[in-house]
Amino acid sequence: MIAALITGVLTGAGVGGGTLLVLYLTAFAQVEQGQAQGINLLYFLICALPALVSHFRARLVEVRGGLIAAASGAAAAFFSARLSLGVSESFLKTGFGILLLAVGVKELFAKPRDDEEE
Amino acid sequence: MRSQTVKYLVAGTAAGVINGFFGAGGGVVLVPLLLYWLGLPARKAFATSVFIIFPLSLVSAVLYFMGGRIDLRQAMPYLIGGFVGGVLCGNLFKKMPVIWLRRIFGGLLILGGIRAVIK
Repeated sequence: MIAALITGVLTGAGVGGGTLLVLYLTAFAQVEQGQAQGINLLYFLICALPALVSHFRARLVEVRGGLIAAASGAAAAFFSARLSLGVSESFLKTGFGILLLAVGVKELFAKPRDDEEE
Repeated sequence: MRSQTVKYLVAGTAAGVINGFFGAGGGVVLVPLLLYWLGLPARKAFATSVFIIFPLSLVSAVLYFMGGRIDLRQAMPYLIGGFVGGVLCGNLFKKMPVIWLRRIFGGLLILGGIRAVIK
C-alpha cells in the first residue's frame, strides 16, 4: 500500500507512476505481468481522478487538444489491448523491459526546460 | 485539418497503443510529445497527459477485465494507496521539483528494465 501511495503521487503528477507500479508488482509482489498491467489500469483510474480535479481547478488542462488526443487514443487502446491479451507473458515482459530502458535513459539524462525548476 | 489537431491525434494514438498493450506507460510517451512537439509548458503537459490517459485506461481496463487480467481482490490494497497518493499529488504538485522527479524516475526505470529484459 505504501508503494502504491508513492507511485500514486507520481501518477497524479503525470510522470509515470504506473510504470513504476507494474515494475514493483512484478519484481517484488510476484504478480504476473498481465495481471500487474490490469491492476495498474484500475489503479490509474482511481488515483488520477482526485489529481485531475486539482489540475482542472488550477487550469492546467489543455481541454480541446486533450479531447482530440483522447478520442484517437481510446480507439488505439481498444485494438492494442485486444492484441495484448493474445500474446504470451514472456513477450509482454520483455517488451515492457525494453520500454522501461528506453524511457529510463531518456529521463535520467533529461535537461530542465525553462519552466522546470531544479 | 490544422497541424495542431493532427499532432494531438498522433500523440493520442501513440499513447493509446502503449496504454492498451502494456497497461502502463502511455504518459511516458505522451508527456514528451506534449512538451516538445506541441510546445505545452511542463506542468500543463503533465496535467493534460493525465486528462488524456484517463479515458484510454478506462477502455483498456474494461478489455483487460473481460480478458480475465484483473483480480479485484488482489488489486484492492493498491487502489487504496493510489487514491491517497493521488489526493496528495494534487496538493503537492505545485511544489514538486519536476526535473528531479524525472531523474529519479529515469534511474528506477533503468534498473527495472535491466531486470525485466535479463529475467
